[in-house]
Amino acid sequence: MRGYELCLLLHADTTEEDISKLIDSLTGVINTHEGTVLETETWGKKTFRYPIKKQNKGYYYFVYFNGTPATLREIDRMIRYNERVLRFTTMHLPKSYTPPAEAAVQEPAADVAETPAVEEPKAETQEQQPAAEQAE
Amino acid sequence: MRPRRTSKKRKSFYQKRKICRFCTDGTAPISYKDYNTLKHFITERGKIIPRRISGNCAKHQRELSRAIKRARMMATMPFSVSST
Repeated sequence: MRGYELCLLLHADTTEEDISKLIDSLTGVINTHEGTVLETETWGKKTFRYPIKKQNKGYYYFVYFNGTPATLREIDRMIRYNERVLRFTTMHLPKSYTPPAEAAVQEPAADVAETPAVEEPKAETQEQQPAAEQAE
Repeated sequence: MRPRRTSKKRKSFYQKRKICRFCTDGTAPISYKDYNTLKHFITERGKIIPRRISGNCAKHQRELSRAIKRARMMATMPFSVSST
């Protein structure tokens, strides 16, 4: 098992629905093929430095996961011929990468139960900050 | 390394001995996603600045080069900029 980072450039005209479908099926494939997804990240729509397939903009998506060569093969098969994917690269996870604490510790099933607990501390800190600003 | 001739023509050899930016800093990792850091190491035409000018150490220059090339592939940096 090894950490990998997948960078995807998606066609600018792809609907949000299709994007989430693609990402979901990707993470599904990873999970069913000896892998575990660590995180997904996006930059949204960005302008390219040079046109790709005549497009000047596209969606940037990143998927961080652990996997085996089998996982990689499946992902490759899925993405390579997908017309919405303009470009993709899979690379080793950089050593500097730190997975988010929730994903590292818990199973996917437990995530739903845990996320309210995670949100509460955030709400508390937000309340504390305006109070601190007023005190200053 | 093959032996160099005594530097009469190579004026740049004895200019300031720059220190590697990444060795001293040590915090920010070199990433192909980090355009703001990477942009300092390419010329106006988009070429990678050589190590003897940027002052990087060998290890970081290699990482930098790899990162820039990846960034080029993922269209966050250009391959070349036509100067007009």
